[in-house]
Order: sequence, then C-alpha cells, then structure tokens
Amino acid sequence: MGEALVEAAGLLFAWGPILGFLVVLPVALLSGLIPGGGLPTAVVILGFAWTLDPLVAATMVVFSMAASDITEPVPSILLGIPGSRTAQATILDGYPLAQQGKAGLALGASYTCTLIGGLIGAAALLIALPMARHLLQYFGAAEFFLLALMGIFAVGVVSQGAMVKGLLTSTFGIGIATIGYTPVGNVVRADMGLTYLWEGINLTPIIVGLFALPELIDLVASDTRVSKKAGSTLLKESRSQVYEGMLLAIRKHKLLLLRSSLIGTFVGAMPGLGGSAGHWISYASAQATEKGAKETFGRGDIRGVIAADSANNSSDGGVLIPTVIFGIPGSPGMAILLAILIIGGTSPGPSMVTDKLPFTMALVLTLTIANIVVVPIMLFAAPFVLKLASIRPAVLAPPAIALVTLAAYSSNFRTADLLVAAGFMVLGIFMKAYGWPRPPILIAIVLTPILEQYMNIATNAYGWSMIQRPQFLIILGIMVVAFVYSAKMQRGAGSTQETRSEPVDVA
Amino acid sequence: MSDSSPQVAGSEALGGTGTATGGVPESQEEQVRRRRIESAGEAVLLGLVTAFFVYLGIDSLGWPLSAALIPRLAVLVGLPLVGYRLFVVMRRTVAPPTRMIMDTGFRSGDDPANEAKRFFWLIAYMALMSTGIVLFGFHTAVPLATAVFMYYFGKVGLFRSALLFVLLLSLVVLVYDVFISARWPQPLLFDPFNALFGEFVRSL
Repeated sequence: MGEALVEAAGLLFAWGPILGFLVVLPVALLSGLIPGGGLPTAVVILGFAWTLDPLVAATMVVFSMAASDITEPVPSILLGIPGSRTAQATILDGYPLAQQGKAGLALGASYTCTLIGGLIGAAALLIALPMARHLLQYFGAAEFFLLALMGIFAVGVVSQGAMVKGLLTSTFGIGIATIGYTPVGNVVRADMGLTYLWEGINLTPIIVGLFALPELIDLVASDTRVSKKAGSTLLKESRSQVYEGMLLAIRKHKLLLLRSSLIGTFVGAMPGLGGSAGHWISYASAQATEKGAKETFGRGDIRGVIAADSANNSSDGGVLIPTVIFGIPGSPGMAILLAILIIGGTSPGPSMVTDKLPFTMALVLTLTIANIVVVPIMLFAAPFVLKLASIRPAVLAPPAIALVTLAAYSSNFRTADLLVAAGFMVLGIFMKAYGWPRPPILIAIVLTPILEQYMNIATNAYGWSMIQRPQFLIILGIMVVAFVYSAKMQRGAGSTQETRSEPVDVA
Repeated sequence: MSDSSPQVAGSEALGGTGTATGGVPESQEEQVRRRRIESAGEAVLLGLVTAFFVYLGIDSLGWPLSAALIPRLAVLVGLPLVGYRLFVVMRRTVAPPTRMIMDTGFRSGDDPANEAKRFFWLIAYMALMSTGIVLFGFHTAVPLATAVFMYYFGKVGLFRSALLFVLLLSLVVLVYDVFISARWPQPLLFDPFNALFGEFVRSL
C-alpha cells in the first residue's frame, strides 16, 4: 500500500494532472457557487475523455466534484438558495444564521466541516482498499453480475415518493443500453432500421441532453442569481466571524463533526444513494440525538450546518468506494467517472485494488488535495469568486451550451449525436418537469454492458448453479436488507425534509 | 424556519426573480388545468416508453437467447410498471408532491410569462445554432450563434459579444482542430471558415 501511495503521488504530481486541476479549479469553484446547480464540467470532460490520459480525465472529474462540494453551501448560507441538491439541508440552519447576522459563523463552520469531512471520506476510501482486496478474492462473475444489478436498481428503489418512476427509468435505461451490436450472440439489437444505431447510442449526447441542457435551461428561465452587491456585503461583514465558526466546529462540536462525516461516508458508500441523501440523513440523525436539537434545528443552530456539511463532503470518498471497487456508481457524477474509466480501458473491479492500485490511490490523493487547496481559497478569495457567480445566467449559459454541444459531437464525430442530444433534451425537460428521476437512466446505461458481460460469463462458468454459491446468496441477502434499510432511512429523512423545508419565496 | 421571512432578505440579495420552490398560490381552476396538462404530458411520455418496450420485446424474438435475456427482462419489468403508472396518472385528482433523492424539478417563480419567454429564447438559440451547424459548419455557427444571442438576449454589448465570438472560435480551432484533430461534417450550404482559413488551420 505504501509503495502504491508513493507511486500514486508520482503519477499525480506530473504536468498532465496538474494542468487538469488548474483548468478545472476555477470552473468548479464557480459551478458550486451558482445557485441551483452548476456548470456541466464533468460532461465536458467526458467529451474529451477519449483524447485524455485516463488518469488525467478521472482525477479532473474527482477534483471538480470535490471542489464544487466545498463551495456549494455558500449560496445556501448567504442567500437561502442551494448551490446544488446536496447543499439543501445547509439552508435550514445556515440561512437563518445569516439572517441573524452570523453568516461568518456558518461559513467558518461549513469550511471546517467540509475540509475535515472530505479528509475523513478520503481516509475511509484508503482504509476500504486493502479490505476490498481480500473481499474481492471471493467474488466471481456471478457476484459482480448481482452487484451491477443492485447498482442499476438501487437508485430507483430508494427514490422515496418516486419508487415506481425510479424503477421504470432504470428499466428504460437498460433498454436504451441494449441498442446496437453485441458480441454476445453476434447480433444487432433494436436498430430500428438505422445504421447509426449499430454502434449503439453514445453516452455523451445522452448526458448532454438529459442533464446538462435541461439544467442550463432551468438556470436561464428561472434567472436565479446572486446579487453582486448583497453577496459581497454579506461576505465582508462576516469575515471576522469565520475563524470563530471554524474554532466552534473543531472544539465544541468535534464529536458531531466526526459522527456526521462517518454517516456521510457510509451513506455515500451505499450503492444508489450517492451523496445527495447523506446530508439529509446526517441532519436527521443530529436532530434526533443532539441535546435540545428538536427545538432549535431550523432556527439557526450551528449544529445543523455542521451535521449537513460534514456529511456532504465526506460522501465524496464514500461514493468512490462502490464506484471504483465494485463498479457501482452512486450518483450521476460517479456514473460519468465510471464511463471515463471504461473509455480509458480501466475496468472497475478487482484490478483497481491490485495492479491498478496506484491509479485508485491517485483518486484518493485527488480528494485530499482538492479539500486542502479549495478551503483556503474560499477563506481568502470568496468575495472575488462570489462576484463571478453574480454573472447573469443569460450570459453564463450560452457559452456553456456551446461547450456541451461541442462535447456531444466530439465524443464520436457524428452529427446524428446532436439529434440524439436534442431528443434526450426533450425527454430530460419532460422528466425534470414531471418529477421523474433522471439519474437511474444514466446509471443503467453505464452498468448494463457490465451486467450483460458478467451474466454471460457467469452462466457459461456456473450455469444456474451460481445461485447456490454462498457468496451469491450473501450478497443477495445484503441487497434485500440494504434496500429495505435504505427505504426506511429515506422515509425518515424525507419526513424531516418535508416538515422543515418550506418554500423559499425570493421574489 | 426563522420568523424573519426570507422573502425580504432574498429579494434584496437576488437580481432575478427565481424562486427556490413554489410561488404565488394557484386558484382551484388553475390547479385543475395544470393537473390536466401534466397528466396529458406524462401520458405522452409513458406512451413513448411503452412503444419502445413493445418494439424491444418484439424485436428480441429474433435474437439468440444470450442476447435477448436482459432486454426481455427489462421489458417484462418495465411494461407492468408503465401500466401501473398510467393507471395512477389517469386516476389522480391532485398533482402529487414529488420528492426525489438525486434530482430536482424546474424552479418556478411568480413571473411565469417571463420565465416562458426566457425558456423559448434559449430554445430558439439552440435551434439557431443547430441549424447553423448543419448549413455552415461548427466553426461559423457555434461562435456566431452564441455571440448573436448574447448581444440580443444577454444584452452584453457589441464589444463583449465580439470578444466571445473570438474566444469561442479560438477554442474550437486550438482545442478541437489542433489538439484533438477533430473530424468535421461537410456543411449543407458552404463552410465560410474553411474557405477563408482552412489552409492556415491545417498548417498549425
């Protein structure tokens, strides 16, 4: 492990990854600060994935994800508008604190929690690697088939209030993924008479159409943005309190910080949940266990900020565990990372903890570096960065749309990919408007080829006797328990979300 | 939530009129109308998904079992779910609240007319850019459409629009032509950029 870590450091501190970080850093910072959602950085990187070194592409995605996680709570705290779905719980106590003139306390606590939470998440990943290496010795194709199945349906199952929709979109994603030529059976499937579909539908235009374009449309149509004057004023007034907030988190609430970080890591590691559930579960847990929290949470209790933001960033390490080791992405970002790994010829699984261990270690180091670099930047340069975030969406979005259009085309150099992106954009708009979850489609599309590959290997190697394998049965049992437990935890977190989260009218 | 309303502080802080969730309360009639439109839209979506599943199922009859197994399982699981969902959509009287773990809906404000206007402006921009790509190629269409949109809709002024044009064109040339040697499609009409600067770019 030690040698792998040293080798990983050598891989990472080379011109390629460093330039990649420098390119991605300003975009990621800005992305996290834009209210309501960020710029589709990972999508653009995916468009270049086939030209970049796999390590450079993968570390850029991980770095941008970690960096934007640190900045996302800022608009939540200052303005009551989430920077992303993973920063929503921060609003509940962060925004009231800002209204009470204590924005600095909340920001300081947030920066500290995201830094320490992120480091704990990275450490958890580091600890999980040698354990995974032992565990994977007992895994065969049958078990990986089951894990891929779990990955595809986990998101759908835990979509509380939308389980049927989630499962339906997962199966739809499986159907989309099966289009095209398959070496299994040497047949072209569901090509609808179009030669274009013989190679299947490319992933990049699907992501551009389903995710990037609807989000950019939402950004422009809603025209929600940060006021330059108000944001800067709030930041200047809060500067003196920031250090007080940092000390408060480390000294007085260190146990809460640690516990919330561990919850975020654990939830992030559960296939399908990703990071967006971790901060809610952590918040609900703190509310249930901290003294007097039932009365004070939601009214400007710093512990609410600590609980949410620690889990928010620690889950970055957690979601990497199933993605890298088992090939089960826990979020759309991880699905894109998985796609980048596959494009680069790096299949997730046992090799990621054996001969490709330095690669995996490089991802751990990337998480660590992102946290160490971004927090000081935010401490000193937040007013400047926030000014950039006050740029009107009508100005920010069109260049972003131009970039993702180029990304959609450049992944395969086929003009028809633009039509595919347009078609999926229409679908994405419908789904976003009518409350259908989009991530299950993406995760199903990425995992279905892996699912089929392992299914065929398993049936050829074991036949139907694979269901008698003890490992198979144990994983099946864990799947059932995890799904039931996840659904119950989601209901608990969902009821907290429902009772505390009131519409924020900012007109 | 804090007693001091976020509305006032929010309105001071925001330059736009976006609302994180919800907006002006609707009348009963508006709610029923919205529900009907949503149900119709969702029914169309479900119809398309059903058509895809049926096509997949029928087409799979001609494939070897090894290739057909996963698609057929998807169809077998998906069709009943679609049926159930259609049943729910047709029966419901009130648009249900939607709670999703990993996704968000569109943010709605209290100025739907301007939101719709901005929405269609953006769609028009994308349509303009796409048409331009087909007719004149990426080098001309992408920077020009973006710059024109920014000038008329973004109101950024002529200088900044021109600067954006130059920046985007430089990006396309330096990154896509020089760095990754992109293959571009032949435009339907003609490619002004290639005609004027093609030799120069190829020499880089």
